[in-house]
Amino acid sequence: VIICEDHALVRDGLERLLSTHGFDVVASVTDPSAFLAKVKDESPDVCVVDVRLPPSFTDEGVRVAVEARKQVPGLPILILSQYVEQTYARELFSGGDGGVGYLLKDRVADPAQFVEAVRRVAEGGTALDPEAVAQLLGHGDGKGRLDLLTPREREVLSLMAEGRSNSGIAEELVISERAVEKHVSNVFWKLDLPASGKEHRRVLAVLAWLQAQ
Amino acid sequence: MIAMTTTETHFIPAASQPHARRSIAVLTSIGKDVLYLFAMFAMSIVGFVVWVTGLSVTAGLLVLIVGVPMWLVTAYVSRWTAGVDRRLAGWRRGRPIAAVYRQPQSSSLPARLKTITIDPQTWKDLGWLVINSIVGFAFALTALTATAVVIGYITMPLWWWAIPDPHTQYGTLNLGIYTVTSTGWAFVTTALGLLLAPLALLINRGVTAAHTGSAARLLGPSERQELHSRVEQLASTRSDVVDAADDRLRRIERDLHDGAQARLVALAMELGMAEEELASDPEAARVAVRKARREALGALGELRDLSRGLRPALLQERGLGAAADELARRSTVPVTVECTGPLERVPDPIGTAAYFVAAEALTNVNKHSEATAARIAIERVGGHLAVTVTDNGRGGANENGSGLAGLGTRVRALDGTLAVDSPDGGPTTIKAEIPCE
Repeated sequence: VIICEDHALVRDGLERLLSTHGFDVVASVTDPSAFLAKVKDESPDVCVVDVRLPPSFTDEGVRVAVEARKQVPGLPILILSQYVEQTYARELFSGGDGGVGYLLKDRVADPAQFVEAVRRVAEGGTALDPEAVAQLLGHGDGKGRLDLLTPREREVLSLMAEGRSNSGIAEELVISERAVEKHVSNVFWKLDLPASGKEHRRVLAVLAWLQAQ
Repeated sequence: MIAMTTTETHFIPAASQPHARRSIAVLTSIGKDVLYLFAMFAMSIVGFVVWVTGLSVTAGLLVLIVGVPMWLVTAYVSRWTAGVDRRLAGWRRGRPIAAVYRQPQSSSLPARLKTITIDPQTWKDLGWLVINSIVGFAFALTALTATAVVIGYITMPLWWWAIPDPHTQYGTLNLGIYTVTSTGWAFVTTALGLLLAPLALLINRGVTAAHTGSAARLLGPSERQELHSRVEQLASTRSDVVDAADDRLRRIERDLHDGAQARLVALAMELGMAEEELASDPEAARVAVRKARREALGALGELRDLSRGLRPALLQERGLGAAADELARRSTVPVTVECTGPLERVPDPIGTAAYFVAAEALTNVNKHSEATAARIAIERVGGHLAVTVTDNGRGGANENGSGLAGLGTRVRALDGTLAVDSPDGGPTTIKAEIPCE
C-alpha cells in the first residue's frame, strides 16, 4: 500500500490501521509528485490518497489519482475526502474501470468496514461512500425511474452502488442471498440496466446510469 | 468612566485640567486668526499682481502667437498662487482643501493648453484671485486695522509720551472725545481698548471664517467631484472588504480542515482500533484510547483558538479596555495599556477593528520584533478612536504583510487610517485612527 496524506496525525493512524490488518505499507508520502514517483518505483497493489494535498490544498488528490491511473492503467486507488463532491466522484469513476474508491474520511472510524473497502478496491472492485450514493439517489425529482423501485430495492441499489457484493448486501440487510439476487435483478430490469455478473461492472453500470440522470 | 483599574491600566481623564486647556485653545485660535489675516493680506496683493500682469500680458500678446504660451504661464502661476491660498485656508480650517485639476492626456503643449483651458478649476482659480485681491484685501485690511487700533489703545500708557506733540496731525492722539495728554488719559484709553477688544476679535474671526469658507468653496473640489471621489473610494474599500471576507473564510476553512477535523478523524480512527483490540489486546486498546483522548483535547483547543480569533468574547462582554488588558496579559513581551476617554460606547465594528489592530500588532511584537517592552494606547478624543501600539524592537515591519494589509482594509472600510512606522532597527509604531462620533 502507498499512502498519500499530508496530515501527519491521519497518516500515522492510517499506517497503523492498515498494518495491523495485514497490509504492507511500503511508502507514506505527503505530496502528489512524491506520490507519482513512488507509484512508479513500488508498483503498489492499492493506494490511499487524500483529496487535499499541497501545493494548493484543493483537489490535487483527485487529479493525481487520474494522472496515476493514466500512467499505470487499472492502478487501484482509494480517495479519502472530508466532503463528498459529485464532481470528483464522476471524474474518478468516469474511466469505467474498477479499482476505484471514494470515501469520506469519517469511514476510518470503522476499521473493519474501511479495511474491507480498501481490500475491495485492491481487488479491482469499487467503493463509493454511502453519502455520495445517497446524494446520487437523492437527485430523483419524483418522476424518474427510481420511483418505480420499492424501498427495499432502493436499499439494495444503494448498497450495490457502494460496491457491496450480493453476500455483503445480504449480510447488511439481514436477508438471504437469494432474496438479494431477486431484488438485484428487479432493479436491473426496472432501470433497464444490462445485467452483468462481475461486481464492479454492475456498480459502474449503476453509477453510469445514475449520473446520466 | 474609571469603572475599573487594573495594575497595567492607567485611565487618564479626557481633560485633566479642562479650564487651563480651554484657555490655551482660545488663545491659540486668536493668534492663528491674526497670523492668517496677515498671510491673507499679503496673498491678496500677490494675487493682484499675478492676475493683473498675467491677464494684461496675455491679452496684449494674444494677437501675436506669443500670447498663447503666456496664457499657459499665467494659468500655472495663478494655479500656484491659488495653491498657497488653498494651503493657508486648509491650515486654518484644520482640514486640507484638495486640489483637483484635470490631467492632460499627454505632456505636449497643445494637450496641456487644451486641458488647462477647459478645466473649470483654472477659471475658478483666476476668479478667486480677482475677487480675493479686492474683497479679501479690503476685509483683511479692515480686520488688521481694527486689531492694530485695539492693541494700540490697550498699550497706550507705554508709548503715548513718545509722541512729540499730541495735538499735531502726525501721530495724533486726538480720539475725538478727548486727547491723550496724561498717563491718566492713557489708562482710560486702555480701558476703551479692552472694551473694543471683543469687537476686533469678532471681526477677525468672522473675516477668517468667511475667507477660509469661500476658499474651500471656490478652490476646493465641487460637491460633484467630492461625491465622485467618495464613490470611488467606497467602491474600492468595498471590494477590499469582500476580498478580505473571502480570504478569511478560506483561512477558517483551512484551519478547520487541518486542525480540528483532522484531529477528529484521527480520534475516530483510534477509537475504532481500540474497539477492535479491546478483546484481544487490552493494553494496546488502552494506549489507543489514551491517544484518542489526546486528540479530542487537541481538537477542543483548536476550536477554542479558532472561535476566539473569530470574535473575542471579552470584547463583547467587557469592552475594549478589558479586551486590551487581556491581550496584554497573554503577551510574552511585557505590555502596558493606556486607555483614555469613554470606551464603553464605542460602536461594535469600530471596537472590533481597534481590537484586531492591537491583537495583530501584539502578535507581530511577540513573533518578530525581539522587543522587551510594548505599549498599547487607546484614545477616544475629538470624534476619533485611535489605537497606537509601540514596541522597542528591531523594526522592519512590512506594511503589506498579510496581517497588516488585512488590518488596513478593515480600518479603511470604516473611513479610518492605518499608519505603520517601522524603520530598520526600530522602534515600531502602528497607529490606527477611526472616526467614532
